[in-house]
Amino acid sequence: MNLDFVLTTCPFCGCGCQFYLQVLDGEISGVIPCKTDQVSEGKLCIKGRNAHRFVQHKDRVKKPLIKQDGKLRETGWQKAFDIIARRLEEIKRDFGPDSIGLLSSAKCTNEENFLLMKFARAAIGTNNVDHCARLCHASTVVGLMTAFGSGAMTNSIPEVEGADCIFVIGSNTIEQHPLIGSRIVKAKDKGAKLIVVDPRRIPLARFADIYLQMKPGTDVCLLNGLMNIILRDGLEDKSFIRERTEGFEEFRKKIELYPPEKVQEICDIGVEDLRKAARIYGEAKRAMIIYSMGITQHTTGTDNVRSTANLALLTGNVGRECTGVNPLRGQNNVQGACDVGALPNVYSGYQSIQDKAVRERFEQAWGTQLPQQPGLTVVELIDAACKGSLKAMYIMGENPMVSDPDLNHVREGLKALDFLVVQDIFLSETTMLADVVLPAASFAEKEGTFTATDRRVLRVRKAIDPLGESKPDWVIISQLAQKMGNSKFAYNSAQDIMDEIARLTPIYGGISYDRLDKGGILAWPCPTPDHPGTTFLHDKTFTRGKGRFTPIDYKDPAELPDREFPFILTTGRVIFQYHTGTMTRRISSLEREAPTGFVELNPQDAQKLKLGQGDTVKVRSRRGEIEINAFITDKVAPGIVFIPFHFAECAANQLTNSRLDPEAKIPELKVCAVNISKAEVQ
Amino acid sequence: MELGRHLNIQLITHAELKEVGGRAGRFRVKLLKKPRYIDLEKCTGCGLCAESQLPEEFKEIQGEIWVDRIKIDESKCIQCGDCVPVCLEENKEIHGMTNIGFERRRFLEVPPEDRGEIKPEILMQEVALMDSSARDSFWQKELSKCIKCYGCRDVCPLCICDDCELEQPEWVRPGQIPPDFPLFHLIRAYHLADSCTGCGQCEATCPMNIPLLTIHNWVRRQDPEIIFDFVPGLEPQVKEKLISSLEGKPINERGVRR
Repeated sequence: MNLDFVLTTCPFCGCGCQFYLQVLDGEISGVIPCKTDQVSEGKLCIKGRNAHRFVQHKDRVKKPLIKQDGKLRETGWQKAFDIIARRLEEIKRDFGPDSIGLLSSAKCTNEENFLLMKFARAAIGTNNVDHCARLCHASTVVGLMTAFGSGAMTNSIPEVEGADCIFVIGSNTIEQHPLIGSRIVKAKDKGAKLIVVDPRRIPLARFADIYLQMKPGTDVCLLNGLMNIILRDGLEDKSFIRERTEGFEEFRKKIELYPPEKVQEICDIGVEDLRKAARIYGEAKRAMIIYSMGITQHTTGTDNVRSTANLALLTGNVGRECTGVNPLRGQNNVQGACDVGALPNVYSGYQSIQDKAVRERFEQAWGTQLPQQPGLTVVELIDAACKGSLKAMYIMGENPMVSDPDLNHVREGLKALDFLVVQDIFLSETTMLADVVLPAASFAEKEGTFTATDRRVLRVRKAIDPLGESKPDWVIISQLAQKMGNSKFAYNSAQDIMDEIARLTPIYGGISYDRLDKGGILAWPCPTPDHPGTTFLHDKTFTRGKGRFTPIDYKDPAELPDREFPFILTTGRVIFQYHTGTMTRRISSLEREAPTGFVELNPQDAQKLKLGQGDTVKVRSRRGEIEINAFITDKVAPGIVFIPFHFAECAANQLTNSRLDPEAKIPELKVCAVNISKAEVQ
Repeated sequence: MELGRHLNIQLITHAELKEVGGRAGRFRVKLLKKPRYIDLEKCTGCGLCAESQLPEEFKEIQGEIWVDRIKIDESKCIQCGDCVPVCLEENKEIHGMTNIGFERRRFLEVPPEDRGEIKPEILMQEVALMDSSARDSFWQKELSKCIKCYGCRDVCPLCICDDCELEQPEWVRPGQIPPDFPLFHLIRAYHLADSCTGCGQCEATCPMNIPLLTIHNWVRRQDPEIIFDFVPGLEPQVKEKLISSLEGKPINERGVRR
């Protein structure tokens, strides 16, 4: 009998909890929490505790599959590589490299994302590489970059406990980042004040000193209103504004246009509540803003993010311990996938592809010419596929057929492609449309690193051998690139790739497996091998020099309810499932809790529509319709409905709007107009 | 007990670990010893302190249990302070009462309006001193933190059922967080009433820091009559008060394995 415990990192949300996988004779038998881990402290949520259950599931893809006569059939690696190499080269020759698009994955390691990005740029010669960060925090990267100079969580997770005011807006923290939610509740028990702003009465709301049930999509107006009160009451930090920021005067003029009475009208929040919230935040010594998808997934996403930055700058709550603007990243490695450059406009470490010096450094390292024009983003790639200018896609570990907005449009796009390769651990709604499916190894079968939401780089360690003939994603890309004649893709281990990342990426410069394996807690920026990492950013000076105020006008969401579509639909997740459910829906203990989707409806609306608890209803938008069970609850206000997007059989994204934020190109997944009617009984 | 006899092991009870330094083989720890009512090294075990407030019928039982040395159960102490004078009376030279005992005594000598607040030392005692409505809202608040990770059950060395009652939709609605008050946690407390060893793993692993051990300690230390308002041997309808399913069905209709 051979028993082993392997310390690794949770593959679900961005908290970055570490735990031990218990391996008994090559079979993963359990998850043991790690008591010395800084974030989890021996505690885990239900997903983490069951994280081992999907790894050796019978549905795992174990051999490469190719499509023959409309069906996926098993084949060998050689043949699969031959087909991919030949088809990609043909398409590149006939239509140019920019007719190929690649989707990287926030579920994969930093090394794999870096390699796919390198594959796109150096082997294929296109900047058309993006990943699901486009659907979650693209607006954070753009928004905080212009305000502070760095688009990541400014402070670290343990600091939450030390704040004396926590302002949570658009984040269902207890459900989506349970180990951060737990710290918020702990801080609250210690005496911190808690302000929660969300259209839904989320579990965190019951602990709040003040809960504001705002109308979806009115974030800018609300935040401007709070800042208006802070300025009127003189609660701003004058010396901070004078010494460390710029653009204040212009910003102040804009804020004067948002008196509380106007905000009350637009956001549907009482003036007194607004005053109270502004006072709590404005008077706090260490106030922390926490936000998530509720801020970012809007056509005004970048504006929303900048407004949170304005609020922190105005009160001097940034650049100090236990303060800051803290976007909680959704996926286990969405921070890392952005950091290592799986984005169409930057290389690793957010170094612009249009900066000549940077590009030359990468060209020299990779021994080839690199493309100069920024590539297309996730939703733009699908649009290009529909229009026919994109001919082939290579998707690594993503399931756009459930996760992306306006699924009918996505299906149309993927079907129109000449060639689609999907690399995944399970068959998904997306692999069904693929020409070639490559079997990848899960987190438990490979070495690598994930970067948690607070910029900590964490080791992922191999517990068992890859199942069947599956291979770690980095091995697949490396072998495929070599097959296509690129000698610069030969690596002996994931560690080699990390060393290359460290060489080419200043913020990762001091990160190595050696340091991580010795127990180092390294949060970037960590430029040199003796640098201790950075727990909070913008100490003394902002990354861009001075913090920048941006005057922002409130704009309505792209689609508002009207007579035909009278309800506002907002989407999100539940604690028991994860994203498109390829992993969690195969875990029986999670599936038992949340077996299918539901639409949350206010009792008043249910009464008007004559609906009872659990009735099947038809939800329809301009883009599609689904049938789903009604869940009547006062969590949502009248006129607002909520659907979790995990479930392919009643996919919320059939309905959502793919209109984009003009700067960050993030789609408006949080607001669209829908109609609800009782479904015909069959 | 075996452990206590080991030459290199010294048991330090009622203390809190403040800091661990050094490395394996040569650890350095900093402990905070909490004040006790009784100095265990000095106490002669005469038992008079206990008798001072106990009703007649308990004295014999207590005498039996406390044959060696007295330890006052903080969760049950009502802080009357009567133990101090009897101890001084009986053990004139070396008395077992510690400063904290004396403090309690002095506390009671000042008129009520001048008394400051004596904070209970442990949560268990704090809960014991609450009246029933305060206790209800305390548990409402604590248990509403639950995110149903099932960690308490998963780590419990005594939770060994093959299919768990917590997963039966009759008792606990699936997919809801927090679970409906208070069935989820009371089912566990009830199941473990006779087997919980007080190891505290459930509380240590709870992501929301719910004081789960206090629930189990409560159950272990109290009579079923007090906790469940239940007297064994009474007629069946009394059982219905104990626990009922979500639809309000009494326990005997649904049937339960324990």
